[in-house]
Amino acid sequence: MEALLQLEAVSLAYGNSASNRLVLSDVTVDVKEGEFITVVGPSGCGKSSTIGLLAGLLTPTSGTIRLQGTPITGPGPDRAVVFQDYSLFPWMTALDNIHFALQQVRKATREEALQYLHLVGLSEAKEKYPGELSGGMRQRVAIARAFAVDAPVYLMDEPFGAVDAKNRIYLQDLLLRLWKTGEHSKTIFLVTHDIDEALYLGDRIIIFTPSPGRIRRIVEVPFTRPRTRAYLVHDPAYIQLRNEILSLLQDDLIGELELVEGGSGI
Amino acid sequence: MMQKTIDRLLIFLSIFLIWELCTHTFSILDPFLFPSPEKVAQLLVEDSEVFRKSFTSSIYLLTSGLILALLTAIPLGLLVGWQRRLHQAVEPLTNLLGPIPPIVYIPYTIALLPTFTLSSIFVIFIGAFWPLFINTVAGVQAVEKGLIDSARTLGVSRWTMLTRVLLPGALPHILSGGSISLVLAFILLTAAEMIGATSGLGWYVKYFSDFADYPRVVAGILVIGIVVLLLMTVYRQVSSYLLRWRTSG
Ligand SMILES: Nc1ncnc2c1ncn2[C@@H]1O[C@H](COP(=O)(O)OP(=O)(O)O)[C@@H](O)[C@H]1O
Ligand SMILES: [Mg+2]
Repeated sequence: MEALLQLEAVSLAYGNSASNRLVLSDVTVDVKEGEFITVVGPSGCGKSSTIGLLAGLLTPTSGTIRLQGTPITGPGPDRAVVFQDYSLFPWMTALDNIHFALQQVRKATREEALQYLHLVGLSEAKEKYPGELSGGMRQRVAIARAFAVDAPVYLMDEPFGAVDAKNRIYLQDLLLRLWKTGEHSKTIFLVTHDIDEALYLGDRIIIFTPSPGRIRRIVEVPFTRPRTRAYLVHDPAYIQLRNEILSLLQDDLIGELELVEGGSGI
Repeated sequence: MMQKTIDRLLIFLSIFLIWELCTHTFSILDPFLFPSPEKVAQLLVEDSEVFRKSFTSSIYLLTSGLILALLTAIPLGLLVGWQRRLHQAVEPLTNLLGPIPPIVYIPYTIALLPTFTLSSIFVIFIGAFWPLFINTVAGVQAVEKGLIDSARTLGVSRWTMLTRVLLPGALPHILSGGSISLVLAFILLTAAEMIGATSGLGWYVKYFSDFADYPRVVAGILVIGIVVLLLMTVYRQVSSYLLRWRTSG
């Protein structure tokens, strides 16, 4: 079967022809329909830029990105995006944020929008503005909004990065639940800086090198679903895989440090 | 809260008392130039019909000019703030025309336009336009890029981007520009009325100072102060309602 999402030798440079800065270099990966991909990598390696490319907010400098065989030329209703912050409009209530998103894809009543708020357990907060909600609640609304538009592809840039540990666990499980509900299978591409999160959620983990980001390795996560946190953390296979990823990331960071030190003549 | 109210009342009472003592009680000040509170109060009642008419006439000019400014400055500001190229193109013009004190247009517009009403509306419009326009442009540019990206990923149309994202996003700036516009518009209104009107609050003050009827001048000034205060209070209420989403966060 053909991949749902194909990145083929994708590179991205910021800036103009006079001065540009390579951010992503030669990224090639195929994402299957229904797959949950997680992405980890050092800060500044181009993870958010990758989300921007997939969302159609950025255009690759070279290479192509295809969704169901068609090159991506801009944002579209076939991809829903959740950012770490700024997903929600502060001047719309929680309910209006979802309603507004729904209306961009089809005619929708506020009652329909309310169902999605109910799905994330926030019906009572419908008339609240994002500024009146906690970080965790805001992300719940953002996730509800993303799933309301019922896109086949979900792009998430550190969606739980600013959420406290307890809420993060709740949100991760919520996300896994939503991933498997609905008629169509959903494909998720989620960036995180938390290796445990990457392992708990992902079918495969893409590990990036430091800037300019290349794919360092793609790791298959072998654990069967539904996964149980308490069980996983004591599984020797989990611990080994976790250490492997950690050392990959650390090697890269140490490599980077050595480069800097070499440059300064030490 | 309570203390604040008491303090404010005390200030008002002391000023009133000093005024009363200097005029009515001890006649320290020249009664020709400084009317007593009683005299002013009496005139406010006596001329209440004139004040009502003056107020109506002034408010008509003010709101006409302001509405024209709202209807042009905000849409134009949204477009110019949003379109980088357009912004770069009009920036020098804005820098040239924006800082001209609109008062200087008054004699010219009176010569240019057929009626006094039109020329004062036009001057008020010009005065109110620039603060609104400049602040709308700045407001659009201050909208978080993340919010614009978020809107783009939802696939919003251009119209929706302008009306549902950039307009509310720029609203804090627009409203602070609006309060400058309101004050400026009132200054221009009264200035224009003093120059060429036959009615209005500015006209009232000018007319009676020509007759050296200073008690009426003082009464007129007091009425103008109260009107400005009321307008600003209403404006603040409306602003804080429109920005109610900014409570925290
Ligand atoms: N709009 C931009 N213009 C120029 N450089 C940018 C821009 N956005 C990001 N960068 C740079 O690109 C690199 C990758 O950024 P990003 O994709 O945000 O990385 P990550 O999300 O992995 O931390 C960083 O070095 C960042 O400074
Ligand atoms: Mg990032």
